[in-house]
Amino acid sequence: MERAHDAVEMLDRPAPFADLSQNLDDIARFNAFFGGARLTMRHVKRLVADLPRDRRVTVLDVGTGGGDIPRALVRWARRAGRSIRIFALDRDGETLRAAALRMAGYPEVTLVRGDALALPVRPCSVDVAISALVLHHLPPAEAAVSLAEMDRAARRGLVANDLFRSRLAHAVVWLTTRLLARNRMSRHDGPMSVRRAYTLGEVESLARRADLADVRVHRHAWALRLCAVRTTTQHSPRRSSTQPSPQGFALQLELPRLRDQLSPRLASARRRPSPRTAGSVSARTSRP
Amino acid sequence: MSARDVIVVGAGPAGAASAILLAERGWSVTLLDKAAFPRPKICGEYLSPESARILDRLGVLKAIDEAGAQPLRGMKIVAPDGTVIMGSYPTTGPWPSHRDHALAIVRERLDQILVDRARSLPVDVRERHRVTGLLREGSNVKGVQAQDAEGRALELRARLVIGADGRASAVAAALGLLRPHRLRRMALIQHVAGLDGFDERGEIFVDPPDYAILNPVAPGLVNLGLVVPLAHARPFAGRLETFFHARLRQLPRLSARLEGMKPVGALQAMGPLAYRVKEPRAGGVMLAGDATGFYDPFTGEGIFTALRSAELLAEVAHAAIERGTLEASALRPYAEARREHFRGKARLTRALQFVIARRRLANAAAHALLRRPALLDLLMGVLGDFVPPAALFSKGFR
Ligand SMILES: Cc1cc2nc3c(=O)[nH]c(=O)nc-3n(C[C@H](O)[C@H](O)[C@H](O)COP(=O)(O)OP(=O)(O)OC[C@H]3O[C@@H](n4cnc5c(N)ncnc54)[C@H](O)[C@@H]3O)c2cc1C
Repeated sequence: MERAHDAVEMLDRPAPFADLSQNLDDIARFNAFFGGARLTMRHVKRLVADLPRDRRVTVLDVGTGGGDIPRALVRWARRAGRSIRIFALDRDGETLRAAALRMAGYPEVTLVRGDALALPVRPCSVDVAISALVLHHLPPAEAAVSLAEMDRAARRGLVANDLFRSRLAHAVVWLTTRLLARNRMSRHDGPMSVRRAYTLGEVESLARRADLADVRVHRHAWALRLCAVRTTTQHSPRRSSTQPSPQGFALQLELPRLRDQLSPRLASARRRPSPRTAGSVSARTSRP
Repeated sequence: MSARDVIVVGAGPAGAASAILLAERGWSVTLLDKAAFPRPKICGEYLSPESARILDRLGVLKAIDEAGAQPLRGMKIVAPDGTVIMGSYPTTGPWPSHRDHALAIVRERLDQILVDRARSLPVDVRERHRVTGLLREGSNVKGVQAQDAEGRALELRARLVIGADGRASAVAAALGLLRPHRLRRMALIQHVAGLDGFDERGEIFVDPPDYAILNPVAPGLVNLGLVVPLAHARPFAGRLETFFHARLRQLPRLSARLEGMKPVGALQAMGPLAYRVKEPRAGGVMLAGDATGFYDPFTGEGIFTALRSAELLAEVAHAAIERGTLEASALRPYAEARREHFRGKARLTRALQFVIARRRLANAAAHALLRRPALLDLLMGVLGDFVPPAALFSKGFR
């Protein structure tokens, strides 16, 4: 199956809030059904396994959508008795508004507006950078940049989880969205996102393009997902020469805080954020 | 040597139907089978509503009804959590079903009726003739090598050889086309008595990783099929009967339903079920039915596919023989027609397979179908082979 590179998902375009919100719920349910969320969790747990247990784990979720994976990670951390801090980033204000409605009771998660292609964070400012169902929204050049950006942000490694393209995946997603999706946006976008998804080999070459030769791409046929994982070790020195931020584990934001952005005026201004400019202001998230 | 037009290898549904359709068009046909009919064939013995259209065209539907085929107006599906869905075969949208019911019939009878029909035409039917190899000239097949009932080797020539010899097809094997499949499952099939309350419906119990189908094939007789991962059955290779009954007891919804059942005849087992067959590249040869590959019996389309592929084959074969060119290129439209007709359904069955192998997903799908009866009808129509799968795929349906 050829990659449908010029296809557009409804999620890519402005949509009524109710539709968007329902679609995000559908995605969360499918994540749960197919174990998509579990896969990311499994890799994250492995990447932070040898951190001291009393040390807070920090995660950056790029393209968080409804934020179901951050919530699942928080629940895991609570069960495991670990402290966690998650920065959940999305470039779309409406999506963040929908995510915010789902974050009651999850103070560990901070929503951040920003672009996967220019993460508003300093190098090495979190332990792990994750993304789920993001790569297929991006053309190859941008998908490679997003991997490089995740790598830049994370100290211990990155996990990019996405659908992979195959006929079986297409048929399964098509059937299950038809059966189970509550909303027409999901029914349209589900199969479409498989057609836009990359294959295993394509993700490997995206990683090479991002100069991340040691990314391993795992195929989870059972979940219809692949996971591109880079584990940063002493033996795989970072490309970036920057040292971990001296401030400890707080995320360095280069954009104003989300709360300021959720005003209706800003939320409706859909734009593709421009690459970071050298003079942008650096602000710290200082929520406890 | 006789100027025979066609040799059909295998007299199951695919072979018998091919022989009938080509003989009706005036071609001289020899139909070979290694078995003598009636012969046993492991099968769930379910025939989708649309199969009736082809059986009618073949002139055997009346005989099948009279032989005691049981009408099934639908399927009862029991999800892992016990949710029950009642599917029927109503006419949905612009796609009328040939009949509003499927059929269940003992395979020995069905296959016998088809062979008898072939015999009533000028078809040279030869039982107990096993095909052992192909005769070739260059890149074209020119006939078969066979062994007759007495074990004598013989060579039969024809302009066209049709491989309809089922799984482990000798024709496909001689062409080097058989391939294994990743899906590795085993089926165990047992006729049972002592069950009732079917109300003209087959029953499907989905209980990952297994599923079971109950099919009332004759008054008082039920076909019970259980499909399990091959790896689970393998350690019990010599004691499949023990494995079968223990497994039935482990499936809570099914074992409750099987209260009072009495096995009739022997347990039949087969695995792995799925395999692939590549398209032949040689001229003078075509494949039909199970000889083109098999996936899984869950959606019960094996016989329909065998009959339908014979229909498609007969079209192309007739045109090619008439033109006198049986090169591979002249036969290619058959591969294309098969792809066009079966691709959508094949994808659906693979997707369904994915769903029924996962407990949560299967439960959720069952709940969704309960909420959306129109979608259930459409799905039953596709499974019944009278609604094109594209109808489900189409964006408009909600
Ligand atoms: C467990 C199980 C359950 C199934 N349940 C169903 C169901 O409920 N409904 C459904 O529609 N389908 C079902 N199927 C599928 C169905 O049985 C087959 O798809 C169907 O029988 C295919 O028909 P055929 O004519 O291609 O092959 P077959 O019916 O297998 O006929 C092949 C014939 O070729 C002969 N032959 C083989 N080798 C040679 C040789 N070398 N020389 C000469 N003759 C030879 C054999 O004796 C046989 O008579 C099931 C299959 C399995 C395994």
